[in-house]
Amino acid sequence: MKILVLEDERISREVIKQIMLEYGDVETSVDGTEALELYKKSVAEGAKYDLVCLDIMVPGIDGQQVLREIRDFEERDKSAGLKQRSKVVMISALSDRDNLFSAFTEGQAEAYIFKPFTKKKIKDTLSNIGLIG
Amino acid sequence: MVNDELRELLDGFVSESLDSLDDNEIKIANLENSDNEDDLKSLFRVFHTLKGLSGFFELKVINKVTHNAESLLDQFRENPRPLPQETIDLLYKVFDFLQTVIVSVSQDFTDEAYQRQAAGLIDLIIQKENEFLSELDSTGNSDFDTATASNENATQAADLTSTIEAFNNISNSFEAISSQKLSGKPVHELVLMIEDIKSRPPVSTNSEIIEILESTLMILTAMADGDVEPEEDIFIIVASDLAILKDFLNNSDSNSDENPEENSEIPDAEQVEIAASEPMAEAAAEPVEQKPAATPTLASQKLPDTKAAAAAISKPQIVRKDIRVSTDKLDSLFNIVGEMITIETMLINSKDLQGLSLPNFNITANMLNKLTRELQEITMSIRMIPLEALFNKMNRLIRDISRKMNKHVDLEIFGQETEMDKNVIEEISDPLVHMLRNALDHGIEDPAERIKSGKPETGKVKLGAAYQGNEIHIVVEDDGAGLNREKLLNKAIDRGMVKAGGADMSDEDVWQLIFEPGLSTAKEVTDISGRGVGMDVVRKNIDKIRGSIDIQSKSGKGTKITFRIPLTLAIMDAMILRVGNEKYAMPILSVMESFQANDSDISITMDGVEIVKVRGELFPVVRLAELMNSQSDFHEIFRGILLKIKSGDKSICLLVDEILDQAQAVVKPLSKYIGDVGGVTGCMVMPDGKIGLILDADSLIEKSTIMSEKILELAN
Repeated sequence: MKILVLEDERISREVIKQIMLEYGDVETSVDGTEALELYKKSVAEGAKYDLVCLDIMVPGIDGQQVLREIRDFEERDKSAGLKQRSKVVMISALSDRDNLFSAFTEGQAEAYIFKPFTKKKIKDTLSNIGLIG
Repeated sequence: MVNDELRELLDGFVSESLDSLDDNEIKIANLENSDNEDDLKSLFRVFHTLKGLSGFFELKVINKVTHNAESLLDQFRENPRPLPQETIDLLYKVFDFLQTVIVSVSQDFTDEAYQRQAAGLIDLIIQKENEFLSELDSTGNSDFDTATASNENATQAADLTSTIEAFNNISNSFEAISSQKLSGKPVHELVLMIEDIKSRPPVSTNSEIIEILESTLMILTAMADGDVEPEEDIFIIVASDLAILKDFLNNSDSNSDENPEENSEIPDAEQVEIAASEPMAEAAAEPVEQKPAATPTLASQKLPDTKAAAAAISKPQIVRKDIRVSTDKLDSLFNIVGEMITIETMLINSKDLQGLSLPNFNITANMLNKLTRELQEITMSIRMIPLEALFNKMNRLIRDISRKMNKHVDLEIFGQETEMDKNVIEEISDPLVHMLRNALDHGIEDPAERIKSGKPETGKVKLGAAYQGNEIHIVVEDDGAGLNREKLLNKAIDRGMVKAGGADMSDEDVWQLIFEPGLSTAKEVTDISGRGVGMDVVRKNIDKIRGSIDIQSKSGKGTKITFRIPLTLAIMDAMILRVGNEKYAMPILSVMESFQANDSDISITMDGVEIVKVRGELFPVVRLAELMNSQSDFHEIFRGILLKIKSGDKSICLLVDEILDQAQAVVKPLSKYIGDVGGVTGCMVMPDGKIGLILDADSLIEKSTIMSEKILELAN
């Protein structure tokens, strides 16, 4: 499984990366604009990320924006059916209604994890969205 | 997560999901006649959103149903074609079911009670998906036996196939667990799988099997929790339980194969029901069908279960506490109420009635007045929501930022019950984030630094709101380092914002510099603050809602920033004043007192400013006639009326000729082409039907200060 993690805070990034390494290859980014570029590059190379984890409050464009752009991109890419879409998990400290709902409604995210999170929470979430058994 | 917080979010989930189901139901019908891609996409999005959100709230039933519905629609998305009538009906059923469950979630906070009904519904969805797949597969060589089965048997066969499939998964998972003596998560998953199969027909209707599975579950749960060691003899017990289940399922399989005719009529009825989708019929069937079936024959047991599911899906009684209304409608309501109040005042003060004794009319007029006031209050309150949600959001922000920066901060919140106009709350959200970030980044020092300067290691940030006269004050206060006058000034001089020196600038003016674009005094730029971007946006946002920002700061003690936001005053109580021939309105909340001064209390300073002594205190007298360039009745101050008005810590006494009346002022903004008129917020229709200006205490005081300074300059 190919995984992209967007998280600007060093410790969180390391923690998420270590957890994710159990499930696949992990690339990280500290900047929203850069993360989107990485995503686009992966599509161009024909090796899309299976999972994208996004923090919201990051330098560059924020995580919500990255999510929307990814979905727009998929929308234009007609060949991408449901199964070929990247699953997106938001991992953020923002726990307000607006951020939560816009991630799911506008962003069509697969899951949303509040910080602080536990390793179990991440595992459960990945299993819930069908990425791991 | 705090329980209240989750509950609030769950409320949001309920109302947003119901709205989205309502909004999109129409799209199901559209799909009937065409393979409209957009409608299909919207429905798909609805399911996907609900799936994500239900996963987040751990609502397993909704999660499963939406997952299956989404996957069904995805088939149609990838192979565009009109949806068959039966699939359309099924989608309606799914919508109805989801509405029922979501409404119950708003009270029970869980959807567990609907597990059984969901299982029946999911089987129907899977069946439709399989049918679709087999239709696609023109060779007829389908993976699914059910799809090729006759229509009559399809429902039951699908039930059974999916249940047997589920059992195979259980059996595989158990084999892995017992051979490797696993514990913990795999066992936990096995528990969930067995829970799931319990709710599927035909298992769900056989109490004997359910009882056996209950005991199996108890053992496995204990094992998953680590209370029981994964020993050989335990596996033997579980294995024997599963063997019983297997036999039971095999029997059911052959049973339905052997007696297809016995069942043929009943599933047919089921099909008809789906096609007709007649909620009334289902509702009528409910009381009978929901009784647990005690019939021993397996074949006949299946039907009541599916039927019960269908019955429970009948139109839910939706109890909603809120509705969504377009703001346009609210705005028109505001305007109409405003007009009504104006007309009411004009009516009661009508010239035709003057001089007449009208006791009955006066009583009715009073009642009308009371009602319009109530109407006005309710109309105003519609847009008001408490600040609590906004403040809660900040709470989380503070926690995150303080962790990022390794600073210890306690956030104290007060006044979260204060209500504000929804639009205004949206405007102050960003500024508030900026101010809090700044308080943490620039204000609160590192723990080490704090200890060195004799402060407690944990910094304190206060966030609060309070009513102050006709304003709401939103306060962000920290006990950090405070602003540094010299640094700020030097930087501003560097950037050419302030002419060299600046020594004569008041502290308050220096602090205001932080809102200038491109000024930041942070030692290094972080991702949180210090880019000097944003502070000017703070001021812009606050200006937009006609608010102002006060800053108090003491070096080493901390900073207090106050957003002063005017209440939305589309309609307010006002005093009607007269100067010469002109009438003005002054908001009553701005007037501290009104009085006639004694000549002996009035004096003139050496600068030529008239002052009046009120209970030992001196206040400058400002002649409204002079400010407004109009003609007053008399020149002597003691003949007129003085209104003491206040803005911030400045007070003046405003001289007018007469107070005429008290009235409800409906504020109409002045047209843009008039430009910025100092001292005036707008105009209104006066009780006599003429137009008059509404005065604004703050800008009047500002204007009068500028004028007196000019006089001073001229005098010098």
